[in-house]
Amino acid sequence: MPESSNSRSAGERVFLLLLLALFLFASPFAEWWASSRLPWHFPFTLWLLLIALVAANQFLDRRR
Amino acid sequence: MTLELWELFLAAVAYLGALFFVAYAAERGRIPARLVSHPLTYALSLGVYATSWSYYGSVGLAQSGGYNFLTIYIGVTIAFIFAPTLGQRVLHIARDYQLASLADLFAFRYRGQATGFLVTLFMLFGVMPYIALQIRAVTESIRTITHEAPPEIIALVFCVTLTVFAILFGARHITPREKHEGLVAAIAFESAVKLVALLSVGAFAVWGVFGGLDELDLWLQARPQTLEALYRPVIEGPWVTLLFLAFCAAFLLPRQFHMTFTENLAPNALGTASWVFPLYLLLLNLPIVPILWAGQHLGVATSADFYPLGIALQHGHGALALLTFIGGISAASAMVIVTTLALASMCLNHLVLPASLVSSRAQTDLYRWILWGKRIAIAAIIAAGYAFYRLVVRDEGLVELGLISFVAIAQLLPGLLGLLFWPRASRVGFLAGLMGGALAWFGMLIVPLLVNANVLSEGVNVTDLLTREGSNIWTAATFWSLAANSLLFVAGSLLGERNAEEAEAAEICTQGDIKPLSGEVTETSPGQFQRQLSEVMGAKAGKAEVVRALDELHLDMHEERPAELRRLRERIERNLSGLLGPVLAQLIVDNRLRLRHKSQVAMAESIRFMEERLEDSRTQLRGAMRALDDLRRYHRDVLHELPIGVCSVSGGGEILIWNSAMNLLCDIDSRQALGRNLARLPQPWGKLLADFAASDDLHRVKEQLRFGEHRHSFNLHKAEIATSVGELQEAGGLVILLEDRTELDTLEAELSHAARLASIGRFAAGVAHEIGNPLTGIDSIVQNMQYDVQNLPDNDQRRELLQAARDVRQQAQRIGAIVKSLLAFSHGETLGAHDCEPFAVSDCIDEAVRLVSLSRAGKQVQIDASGGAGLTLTADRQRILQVLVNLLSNACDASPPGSRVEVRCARDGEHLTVDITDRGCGIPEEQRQRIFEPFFTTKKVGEGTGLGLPLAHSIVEDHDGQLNVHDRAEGGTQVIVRLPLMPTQKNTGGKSA
Repeated sequence: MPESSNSRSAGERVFLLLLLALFLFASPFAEWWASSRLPWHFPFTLWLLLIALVAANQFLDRRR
Repeated sequence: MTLELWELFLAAVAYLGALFFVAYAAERGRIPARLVSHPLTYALSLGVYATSWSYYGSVGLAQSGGYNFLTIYIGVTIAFIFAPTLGQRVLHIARDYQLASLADLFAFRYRGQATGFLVTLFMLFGVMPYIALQIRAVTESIRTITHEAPPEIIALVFCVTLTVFAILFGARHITPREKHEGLVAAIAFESAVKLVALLSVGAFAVWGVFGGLDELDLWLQARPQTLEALYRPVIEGPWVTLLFLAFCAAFLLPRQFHMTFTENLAPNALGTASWVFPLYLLLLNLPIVPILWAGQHLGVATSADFYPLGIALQHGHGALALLTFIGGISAASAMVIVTTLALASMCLNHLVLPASLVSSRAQTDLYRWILWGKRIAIAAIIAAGYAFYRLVVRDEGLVELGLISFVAIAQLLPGLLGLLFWPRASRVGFLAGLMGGALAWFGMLIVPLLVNANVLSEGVNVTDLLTREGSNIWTAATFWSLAANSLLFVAGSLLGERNAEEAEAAEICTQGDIKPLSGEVTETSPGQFQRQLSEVMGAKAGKAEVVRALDELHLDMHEERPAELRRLRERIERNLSGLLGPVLAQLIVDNRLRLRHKSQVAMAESIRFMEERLEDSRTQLRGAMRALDDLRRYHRDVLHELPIGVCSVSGGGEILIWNSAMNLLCDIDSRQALGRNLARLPQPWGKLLADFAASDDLHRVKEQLRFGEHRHSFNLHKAEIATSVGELQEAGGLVILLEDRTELDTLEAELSHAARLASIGRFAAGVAHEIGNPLTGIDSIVQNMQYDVQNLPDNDQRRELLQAARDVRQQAQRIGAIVKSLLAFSHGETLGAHDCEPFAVSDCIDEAVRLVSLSRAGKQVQIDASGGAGLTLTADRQRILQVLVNLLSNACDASPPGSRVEVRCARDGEHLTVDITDRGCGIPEEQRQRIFEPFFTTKKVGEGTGLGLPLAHSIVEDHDGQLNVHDRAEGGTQVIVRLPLMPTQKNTGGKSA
């Protein structure tokens, strides 16, 4: 039953995106990049990466 | 440089006017609808999230809190990951039940007026600091530019201007529903203006102040503490707390809920918004840090909040300063307009209308009430924001005011999670949690504001008490308020009771569970609905709501089926929910359109409701549920496609199933039948089916029914059903099968007739044999008589005797021909080729006339024969003679004494037509179909066998001719026989005439 498996995999992808977002911005990894003297635009780069992955997920959903 | 106050005022009014024009053009269709409803427009409209806080306050927070300012937007990004999933669920609930605000949503789930009341009141208080923030930002920005004018006057003028525009945007005309396409377009435009303005200032900061990105890098390398000042607060500050607060605010801020759900024009746009809106926020925040550094580099004299204005002014860029100012106005005004529209709706539905509708009368114009109520509410809310700004706000930063509102908004998160995931959550728990959280919020964040403003005297400092040393006030306030909220919410839900309505709402919200309607409305027509509603809502609104619901359900004012009236009631309640909120809508409908809950009626609606919901939610079914649904659909299709009529009826006589065969048999569409009482079906079906259902018979065979022009024959069968439907207590009902056996009866009749003819054939063969012998004897005797008479002297007596002998022989031959035809007819034989011979038509007609004239009827009627002279017909003469004799006999029998029968004979190409017309009684319509039926006769017993016309018809057909019977308008009958002059190929067997 393709439709139900689609919604299941969409839910899984959302969960993975949430985990990634928490990892990037609310975990010790955030403390790491905040203390690593990275370029000033680094948080924006991480943020853009997260947005790009959300967009990719959305395109994937629409195609299915 | 400075700009004059009046220039700024004009610029602000001009901008707001342009914004209004965009909204007006969108509503009037001057902007293409596909642009207005485009997902990108919708995503941009969510940019109302970025207010003066984002525009000015972020720079200030970047200075004091480093990258903590990004949390306000990254938190929203994380929340919007869920937009296509959880956001869609909230959207469906809001759309299905027409919930126009947060208070409506919570009041729907946690049923009760208290819920809507408390949420609205809390939202009003919680958002006041946020509105005050906008007023403060605009006031300070004007003072930054003009260095003049008391802030109170500026603030007042700003608030009055905003009030006017908020009313123009959202309360201009009497439209009872909340969707404003113009507002979405205008807010999207405003978001674009903000972005352009801030990006322009950022670009100026990089290239105008520093001279380019490389120079900026060099500046940063010379000041390593600058980057450290940005990053350190991520570790040391309330980074996670602010992320969490922004996550909550993404959907729970009144303006965000309003734009995301209430003004949503295209449900699928949430998917696009899940990444476009965060991208917009990213672009909006990209210039913040360069602006901060440019301001620090230039040593701008303003506070960091207003560096965007300061660096433009310091460089003498009047146009950029004006653009920046317009961007700030844009950010502040959009927030205030959308927030007040959302709050005004909540205030009206949950504070004002519940009190005022009690005293309303039939003369009340509800729509006008709502319109003016909304206008007054908008003005009151903005006035309250102004009062908060004047009385409470002192030297707090813009961000502090915003965060106070964020912590307030976060108190709704436990309730929202309970709404989506926890069916056990109850109103008692929700209210207890909200009040507990609100109390903690007030004590920790509002009281210090009031003490600072000298509204309250300093007492016990709760904030200091509850804030750990080294901890941040925002973390402490968020933790304690949400802890109190969650504990009370869980405890209250587990310990408290839920009523049936709450349980139903819980299932709808958590599982989208199918709940069929139950109960029967006491009112029996839409007219009565209208009268009942008019007493509360006024005549105009009462009528408009009933008419609207009827249109949406494709019903009319004459509807009387209980199931449809139940649906009408439910639709009215939903529509009223969009107008007045769910609590008031339910109150009005429960009070005015009462239900008889114990009634079994509306089972048809139960079934239809379940079917519709199953179809709608089919894509979400999984595993065993999906397999069950497939099975249900298969059984349903089998039932509906059966070639036999199937009708199921509830214990109360309500029709539940009406398959497509019943549609065809009864000529009653299922939409007309379903939900109707069996006895109330159009006749004759109502009486037939209701009588059968009520009787003790399980079967009825060959039930005759007349409808249309014909009689029909039906078999009926019925059986009892023991299974109950849904949760209704009363089980049972009947299933009735209706089988049309009209064709079967006709076939049986034909079969019986064929059997009879076959027996006649056998009988005729015996008769022919028996008749043949005496007939031969008669012929021989007469022949001998002829010979004897011929020897007599020639006189009159001799001639009479010879004529008589010839007549006797002719009649004997005729008897032989009749018996032969009878044999041929019953055996289904056709004309043989050897039987055809050419003969004069006129002679045959004369002989027929002569023979008929011998009978009693023939003697009383004058027979006129004409035409046919010189015409030769090649056919079986004896049988043609028989046809003519039968037809003339019938004509004479039907004619009154002294009347005339005409025989006209003519050639018609290769055919001969013989027209026999009488002036008798004619043939009635109902008999004309049967005149060629063997043994059918209207004569008395013994006077006719009913074989004459069938035999004549058969003989004519054997000759490949036609025999038609017509009624004459002037009375009498016309029989036309048409025969080919030469026999056809089948009759000659290849022999040519």
